[in-house]
Amino acid sequence: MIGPELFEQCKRKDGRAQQSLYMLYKARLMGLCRRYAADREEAQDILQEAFIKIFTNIHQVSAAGKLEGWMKSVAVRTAIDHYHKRKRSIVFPETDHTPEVASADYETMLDNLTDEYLVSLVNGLPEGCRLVFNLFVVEGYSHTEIAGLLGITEGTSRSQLHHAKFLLKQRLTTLGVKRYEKLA
Amino acid sequence: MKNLPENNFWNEIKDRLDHYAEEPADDSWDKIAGAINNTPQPRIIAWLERRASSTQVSLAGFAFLVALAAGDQAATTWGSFVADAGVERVEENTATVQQEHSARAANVHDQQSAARETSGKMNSVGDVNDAGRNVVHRSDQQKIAAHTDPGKVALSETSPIAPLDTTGIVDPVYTGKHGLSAEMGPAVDTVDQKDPDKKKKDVVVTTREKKEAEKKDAQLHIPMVYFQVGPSLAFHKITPSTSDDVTITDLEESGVFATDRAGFSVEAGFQYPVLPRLEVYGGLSYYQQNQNIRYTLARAASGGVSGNADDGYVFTPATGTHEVKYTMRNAGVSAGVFYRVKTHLLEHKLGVGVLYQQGFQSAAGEGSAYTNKGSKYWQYQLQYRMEAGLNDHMRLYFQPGYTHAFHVDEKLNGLFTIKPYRAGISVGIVYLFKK
Repeated sequence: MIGPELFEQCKRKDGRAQQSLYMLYKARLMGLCRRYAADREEAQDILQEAFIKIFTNIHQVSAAGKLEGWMKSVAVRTAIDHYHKRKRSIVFPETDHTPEVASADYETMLDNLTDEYLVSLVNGLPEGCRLVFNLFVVEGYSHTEIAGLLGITEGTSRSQLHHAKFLLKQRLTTLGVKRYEKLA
Repeated sequence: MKNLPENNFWNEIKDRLDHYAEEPADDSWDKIAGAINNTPQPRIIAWLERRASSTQVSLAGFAFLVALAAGDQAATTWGSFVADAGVERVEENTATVQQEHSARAANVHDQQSAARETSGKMNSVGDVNDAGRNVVHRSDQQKIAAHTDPGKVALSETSPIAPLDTTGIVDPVYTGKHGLSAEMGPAVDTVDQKDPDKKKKDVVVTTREKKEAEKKDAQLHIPMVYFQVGPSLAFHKITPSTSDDVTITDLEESGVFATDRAGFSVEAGFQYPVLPRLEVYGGLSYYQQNQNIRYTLARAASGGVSGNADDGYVFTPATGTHEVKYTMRNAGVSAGVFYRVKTHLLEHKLGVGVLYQQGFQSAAGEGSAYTNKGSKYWQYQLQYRMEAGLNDHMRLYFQPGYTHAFHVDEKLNGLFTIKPYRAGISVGIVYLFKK
């Protein structure tokens, strides 16, 4: 939680306060950006853009308690803008025949996975799936909000989420099989 | 899912992803700090940056031109608007002579200062000359005190420079810049009020000034014709239509210097100087260019539906790639003004004008989306001209320019509208109807 003093100093564009705020949140926001970006370099670009927006628009935040949530939402929107700005068409893969993955011991698998590896699994999702998955599962946006943010229909958002979950489970299963094979 | 309900599984993933942290690169803060310490860019700069690929050529050119114009502090200005070799020589001599005057006067002034310091009271500085040269007469001590600026020292006819008698052809602009004009006359009058030769000389000077003014006036109103031709690189601002059910998903961009952006223009017309630094022009213009604009579109009216009732249905619109053959053969009229900003080796002029053109090329083929014939374009032109005299009647110029359509009435049966703009450089000749 950021103290009101630091918050006010940042609003006054105090350089030292801005650096302190950056030091406090750089790792958290970089982690967020990593989930949306295809690689670390892209995440780095998004992070820098996000912090610039944060320091430029911090006066819009009314209280220090709201700052953290606002910073995260700025980073998320910057990540989405990043795609729109570059005029990169977000690829939404075909999802007509997404089957259910057979049950597996995911609990064991998740326990064995590091956070870095989990993020790399999310990074490996197709771009559209990755955006929808992050927005819905992690950030808690509704399909209506996601549709508005990405310029897609709610139906597309739902099907992409379904497909993303399927792909993640599939990869976890594959990973589990490989690990079991190694253990055997 | 074995031993773990579905929701708990995703919740665990959510928690772990939500709390995932990673250190950014060490130089991240430096970049952020650098960016936030800079003042916010004006909208126009941001707009130019977004269109950097298409405007960089013209911007670079105009930045160069502005720099040239801004650096025009020490250049001498020709007395005549239209270059005249004879007048040029005289004025160059005049400038040289005056520079000598100035330098010598400064020298004398320095000596005056030294003399003042050593002698205290002094009624004349005529005896500080160097072996008889640079003799300066002053009526009294007050005159010396008034002339503390080296550039404002007056010289009498006893100076060895005086017999050159350049008074009548002194360039008023040059002398104005160097503070000589205003001081020179009164100083001469003050020195030799009792000299009868001075009155005769004043009469000669007045006559010469009148002749010079008449000559300048005659040269000012010399009509001219021009002809120019030059290549250009064309760019387009494309605005998709929002009233149809089609979405343009991709537009194939050619490189900044791509060959299919290349075109050329030919212009011919009249020029007429209305003020010493200002001339108007008007003429006919022709422009030709071929370009293929390729784009991908998605149609909302057709496509496929997939999905199920539980997870929702996905509509995938049908896509296709299309091409517009943008073949232009435009002819029209142009008019504008040129302002002479500098004369140094070449005459440098900034121009602004309006260009109206109409297409007359028939459709590129059956079913072609664009029909040049009948399309109308209102454009503004920004130009920079560097002009040099070939002889008494002919002048050659190079002219980088930028042309931008601000109103387009185009017969484009397409899904978007286009506003063309282009940067180019022309070579041209001006013919002067001098007697």
